[in-house]
Amino acid sequence: MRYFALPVMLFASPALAHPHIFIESTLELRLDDKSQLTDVHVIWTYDAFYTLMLLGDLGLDPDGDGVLTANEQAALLTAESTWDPKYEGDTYGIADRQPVKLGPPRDFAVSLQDGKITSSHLRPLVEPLPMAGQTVSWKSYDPFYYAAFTLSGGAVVKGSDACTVTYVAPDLNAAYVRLDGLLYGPEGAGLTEGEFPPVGADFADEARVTCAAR
Amino acid sequence: MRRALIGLITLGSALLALWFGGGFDWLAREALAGQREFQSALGQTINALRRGDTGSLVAIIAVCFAYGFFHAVGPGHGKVLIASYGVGRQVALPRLMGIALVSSLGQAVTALVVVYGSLWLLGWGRQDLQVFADVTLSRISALMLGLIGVWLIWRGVRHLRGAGVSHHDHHDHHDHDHSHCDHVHLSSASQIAGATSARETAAMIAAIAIRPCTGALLLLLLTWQFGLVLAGVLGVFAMALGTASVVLVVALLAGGAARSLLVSASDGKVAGVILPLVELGAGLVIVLAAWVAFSLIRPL
Repeated sequence: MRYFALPVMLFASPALAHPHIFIESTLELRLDDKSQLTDVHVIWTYDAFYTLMLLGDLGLDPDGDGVLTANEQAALLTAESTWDPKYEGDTYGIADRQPVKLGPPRDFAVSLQDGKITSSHLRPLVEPLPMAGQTVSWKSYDPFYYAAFTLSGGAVVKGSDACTVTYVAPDLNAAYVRLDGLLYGPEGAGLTEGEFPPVGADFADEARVTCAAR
Repeated sequence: MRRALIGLITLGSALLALWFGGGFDWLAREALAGQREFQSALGQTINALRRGDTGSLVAIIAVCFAYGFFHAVGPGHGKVLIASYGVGRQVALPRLMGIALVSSLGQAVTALVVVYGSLWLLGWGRQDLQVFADVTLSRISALMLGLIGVWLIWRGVRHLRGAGVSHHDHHDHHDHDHSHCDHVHLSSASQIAGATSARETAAMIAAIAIRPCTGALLLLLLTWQFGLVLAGVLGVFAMALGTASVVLVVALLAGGAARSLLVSASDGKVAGVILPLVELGAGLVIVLAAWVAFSLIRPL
């Protein structure tokens, strides 16, 4: 019954809000002299279109020459460093199956280059994490996938040369299957109406950082 | 002819299986990469326009078309609805393609009306506008689609109940001899198919067109902020044509499927049951899609 299969297959496509913001991310992992991870330096570069949206909303760079004055730079910095209390920061680490607890952001910096805003900040770990013999998985993602991150700058370990990083691309097929399950299947029963399942993690690049035991 | 149609539907099913099944990973990756690339190109083109490079007006049309295309390859943009509707009601191919094209262009018109209407008349900012488009208009769209789905289910049920007396029905229209069994079923099949009314078509177009795509809204807002109104308007229509080109392919596949369904059903002895069942199924799919779309609308 090919005919009946057709609508079923079409329906298998998720009613997903596509990403409307694209962000290139770099995660710099800072280790202290005891091989403990203490801070994550997060560097994001926004796509040219989103950059224009931000500039337009803030009324910056009205002449369109792509250069910010000192005042405009300060206004952008204020906007970037003002986080909604509910915003988790889009940086997620997992060690021993537990989320790595990150403290509030600080040390914000912004710049505008080649029509793209680069915005960076530091996330100190709530407790330093001993990295010797440890593997930590890092991802940059928006849980609701309105912004799509690529870990194009990778994860860079600073302060130790005993660590290696491997990258795992997302299995988009599996991600869509899981999203379908959440939307239409019994797994989604816990979702309240009007709630989009937080599937961003499934669509994100993963950096696995492994440090040698001493 | 029949062989060609079966070939077409097989090809269509294969493409759709690739699209939504195993090959989806590859396609999703390409679509996402394309979307990322053209979103950045769009930003750069707007930058060039702001610097007074009027030649970029052509570039923005090209970039917007590509952006719309890659955007539509992803989920949404009425593909499911047009395909379900096309198969369920065995809509004639030109009409189905017309629906695909007009509803995509309609989305551009809605985007224009919403953005410029709210900017000029109401003085809204981006936030208000996004709430209106993403919540209010999405809800109206989902409700309208739900109604169309219910209408299809109702038709399916009515035809199913009528299936038992389809022979009787047939007598009213044709007075041929009864030996041509095929003929009997062909006419009952086309009877069901033929009733696609202009009103139904309009309802389908309106339901899809009323919800403008976010990309179009963002582009219009951005170009308005920078005083590039013409570029925004041209860009949004180019974007709609890009979207339409994808939806047209889906309509083509669905139209082929519907056509071969009609032909094979006419040959068989069960047309009076299969066609209403397909109609019913399509109605269910649309109602479910509308329900999911409605429940996914997040108040901002």
